[in-house]
Amino acid sequence: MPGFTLSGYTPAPVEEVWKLLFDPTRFPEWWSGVETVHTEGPDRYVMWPDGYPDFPMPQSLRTERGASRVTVSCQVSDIDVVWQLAEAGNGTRIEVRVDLPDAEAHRLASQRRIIAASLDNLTALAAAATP
Amino acid sequence: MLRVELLGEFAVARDGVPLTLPHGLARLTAFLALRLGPRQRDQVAGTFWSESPEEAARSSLRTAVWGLRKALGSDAVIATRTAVGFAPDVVRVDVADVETLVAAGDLAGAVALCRGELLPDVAADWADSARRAHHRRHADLLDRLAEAADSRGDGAGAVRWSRIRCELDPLDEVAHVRLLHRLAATGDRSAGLVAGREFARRLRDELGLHPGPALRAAVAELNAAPGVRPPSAVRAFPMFGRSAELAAVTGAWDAARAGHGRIVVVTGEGGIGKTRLVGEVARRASRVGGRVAIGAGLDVGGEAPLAVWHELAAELVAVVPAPPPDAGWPAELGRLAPDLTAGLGRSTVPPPVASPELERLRIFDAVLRLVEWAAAHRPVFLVAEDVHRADRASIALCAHIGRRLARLPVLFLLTRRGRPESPDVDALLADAAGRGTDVLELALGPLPEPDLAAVIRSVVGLPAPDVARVLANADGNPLLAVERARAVAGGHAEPPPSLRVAVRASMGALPRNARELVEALAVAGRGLIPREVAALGLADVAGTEAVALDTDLVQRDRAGLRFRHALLAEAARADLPDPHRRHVQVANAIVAAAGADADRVAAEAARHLTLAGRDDLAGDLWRRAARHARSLGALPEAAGFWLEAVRQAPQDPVPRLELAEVYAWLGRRDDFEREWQDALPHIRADDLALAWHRRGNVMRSVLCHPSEGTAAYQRALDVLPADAPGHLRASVLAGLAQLWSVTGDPDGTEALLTEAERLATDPTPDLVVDLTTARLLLLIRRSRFAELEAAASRGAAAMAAAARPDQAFAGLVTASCGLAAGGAPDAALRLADRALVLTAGVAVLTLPCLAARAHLLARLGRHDEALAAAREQLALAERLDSRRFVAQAQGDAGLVALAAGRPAEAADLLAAALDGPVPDGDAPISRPSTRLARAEALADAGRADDATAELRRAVLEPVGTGDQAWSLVPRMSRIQGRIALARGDRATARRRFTEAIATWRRLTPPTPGDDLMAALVDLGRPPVIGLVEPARELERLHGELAAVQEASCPASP
Repeated sequence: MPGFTLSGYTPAPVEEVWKLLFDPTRFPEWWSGVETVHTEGPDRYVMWPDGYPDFPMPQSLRTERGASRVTVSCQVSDIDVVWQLAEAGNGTRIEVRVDLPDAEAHRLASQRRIIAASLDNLTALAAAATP
Repeated sequence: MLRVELLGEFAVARDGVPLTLPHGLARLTAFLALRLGPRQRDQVAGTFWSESPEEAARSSLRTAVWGLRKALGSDAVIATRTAVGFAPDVVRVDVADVETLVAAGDLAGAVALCRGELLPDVAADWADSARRAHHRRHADLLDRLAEAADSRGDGAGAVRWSRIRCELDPLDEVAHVRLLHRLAATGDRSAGLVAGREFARRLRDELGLHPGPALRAAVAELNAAPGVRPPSAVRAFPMFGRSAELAAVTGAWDAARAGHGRIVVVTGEGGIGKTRLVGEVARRASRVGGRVAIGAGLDVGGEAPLAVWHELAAELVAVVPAPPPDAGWPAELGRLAPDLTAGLGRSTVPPPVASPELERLRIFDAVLRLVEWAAAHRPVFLVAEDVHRADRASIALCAHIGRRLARLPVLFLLTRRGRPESPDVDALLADAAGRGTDVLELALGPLPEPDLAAVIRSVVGLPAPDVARVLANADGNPLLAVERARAVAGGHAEPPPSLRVAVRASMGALPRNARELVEALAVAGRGLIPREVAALGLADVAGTEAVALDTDLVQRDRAGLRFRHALLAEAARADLPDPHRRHVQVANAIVAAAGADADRVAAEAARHLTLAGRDDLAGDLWRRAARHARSLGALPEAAGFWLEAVRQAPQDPVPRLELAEVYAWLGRRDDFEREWQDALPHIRADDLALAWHRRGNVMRSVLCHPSEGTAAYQRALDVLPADAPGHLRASVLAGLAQLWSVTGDPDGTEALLTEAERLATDPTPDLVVDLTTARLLLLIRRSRFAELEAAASRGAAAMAAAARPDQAFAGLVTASCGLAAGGAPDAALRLADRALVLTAGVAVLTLPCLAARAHLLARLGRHDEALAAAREQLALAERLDSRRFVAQAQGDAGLVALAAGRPAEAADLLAAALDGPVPDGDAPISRPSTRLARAEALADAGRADDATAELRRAVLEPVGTGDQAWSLVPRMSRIQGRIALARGDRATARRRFTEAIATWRRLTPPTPGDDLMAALVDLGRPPVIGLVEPARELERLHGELAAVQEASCPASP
């Protein structure tokens, strides 16, 4: 299964990053390519990519009994994005692992670009939210 | 208040503080306390200074009265020109209390106060006279209690009082005749004959008399019926040496009597004198009014779980007064053995509960309450002998009791051999010491030669050279020395080199019947009660017993016949000519004697048959033993017994399936699967559906694996024959419905339930429970809260009618939580309180009811009552010794304290819930939610930095669906606001509160029903406390935001 792992650091405390990850309604603020999010329940939401108002992408957001891991799974493409947080000094280290099904292997490079940009946005947004 | 104790040991205390009086003042105090109020000075002076001239006596009295006023307080002493005495309104005396209770009609309570002889150490005419009067009073009370029991048809109670009466006057023939009649009336002829023979011997030995016509007639009446003939007496040897050890144990006993209970462990090799030391302390304890109970279990292992405690409980039951009528624990005690409940004058034993862990906790609590009841009016000396070979469940119960001794007048003495090591016992001691119970360890070494020689001379009269020969190579071991001495006295030229040779010499000369009896006792590995001896099938049992007792290898105690020492039995076993035959004989005897209670001895009998090579007879007994162990919650033992049953019938699927289920309860999922799969090929086609149904039940409840549970139920439906009984199909459907009501499609669940209810025309109790539970869960799942109260009431009535009242409370609590989630706290509280009434007295079932009550009271703003309920829950959990329940109760109490505006207390309780060690996994609390609550408590307590750290820990906790993950983000923002407030940073507080409000408005919460179900699956219970209600959260946030904004506004001019 094709995939990749990226990591980043933000001076924001871990709880600020955690709040952004656990709140899908705020994804459009930092997740590249996500234009709108509509929640359907505590662990399910639908997102619409930028420029595709008629192309809803149902997602599931899952928390696991493992240290601070949030998994976002696309219900259309079967792409799994797993975010993991750890304290690093006063800030937070963020690791993100993306797995694509073989059928989506051709999207590996574009996904890497999107997630890298999202990671940058997330670190910046969390830092800005810190008083 | 001045308190004077005249019964047992003389004691005086002022306002609870013990006083030590000089000898003369103590005697005068005792005299005046015998009758409160003024006494003529001349009479008192004449009594105490009869040898002195009148004036000198009066002067001595004046001096003594001055001393009394100084020592006891002037308000306690009446002193006029002509009279002296104690003021009745200031002084309380135990003898007077006895009369007060008699006047109030509480004869049992009055007898409970009679803790021993009156002023046993005072030698004076006035004391003798008072002593006799009190003795007569005590005897009269016991007679009246026995007669009262007779008149209400309580035969067991009458025998119990009658026995105590005989112990008070061991040479009172009338009392013994009455006891014999009462034993005959209850059908216990064997015990009657034993009591009659022992009395006759005592009369002959101590007074040189023969029994009168009345006792002879009573014995003849008992002999007329078939049964057991009476035994010989116990031989008691004097004690030599061990003065330091004896002083240490009696010191511990004195401390225990004063209310500071403790544990003493006596370690030493076999035969070194542990039992003798115990016997001496027991004698002393009994003499001062203590209650004594001794248990040992089997010498040879393989007994039923909790065997030691069955013996201990039976001994306690025989000596305690009847418990209050509203006490629930006597019935619970019947789970250990029904005869215990009967011995306490009760007849009902509650039905078993589904979970073995709950069963175990219920039994442990009932035994603890028995010990507490025994210690309520008198100190208790509890002895567990040879704990190095006790079963694991018995040791666990020893630990349970041991942890609670610090505030009880109980001395708990354990004996053990030094080898092999007993890590379970070491763990028990470490645990008790860690919980504040004093533990004293004594090691008994070899007895010095002079003491050993004294022991020998006390048993047999040997010339000094022979004593010296016996002492050589006896290694300071009294048992070995005595047996060697006996052999020499019996004509052996040389002392036998070992115990085995000595025992062989003693047994060699026995006639056939007596030898057979002694061999049976050796094989049994424990004492045999008269019914068991009778069932051995020996001719002339009484004569045979007498011959066996003459060897001094065996003795008779309160319970029956037994080897005088385990090592002697061990030596006898080593030389058995036909052990197989003897094992079969003993197995048959103990099963026959147990009658309806045979399951309790099934493991023991099965072990005998296995040792005899009779697996063909043992198989059924192993199964009965396993079911019995399971009913006691003793799962490791149950697994062991089922393994034996599997070994003896490897093609039979039944024991394998049972073993699989026990493994499931033990959390050993792989073992469960292996045994289940091994059983599958052997299951007959007709039984397949039932097997799959049971698998579904295990997956649904024990192993909590919904998809496997669904698959198993579906498979059961697939293989169910078309003509299968309706109730079986209904049971499968009900199980499936219960599973789906939590995780599946609600419409499909409704259809399943409707079909199950249609088929269940004559439902079993289990089916009633499943149907009722599924119906309640489905209503909650669909958020149809308005229907819950009526449905729960119907369900509770149905479960009670199906003889499952233990399950009725669970439905009420579940419905109560549903009503709370549905915004109907008043109705929810009504149901929680009904559940509390149903579970009164059964701690383990009361816990969830108290949790629900605490939450609901807090929700209604009745914080003081909520705190009281939460504290009661915590106290009960601590009593049960379940770390999981304690952590849960600490978490619940912390949330209630937080709601009540007690943040510091809340922070401590929540920390304890989070940090306490929990064996076998995490505590059943939502860790992220608990950390958030603690962060809030710390912020409100002004500890902003600690609150920030706790908040950070919250986000690093694993999160599951039962943690109400959807609500964590806005709750976290709010607490960040509270922390900002604690720092005085109103601007940040405003920003955080606003952020929280915005998040609450954005998010889509689950339906309350789904949320409850998620908690039920994840935490094993609904979120009784801490249920998140978005509307209330918003309302609270708006209030907090308004308060911050108001405080930020400049003051009006």
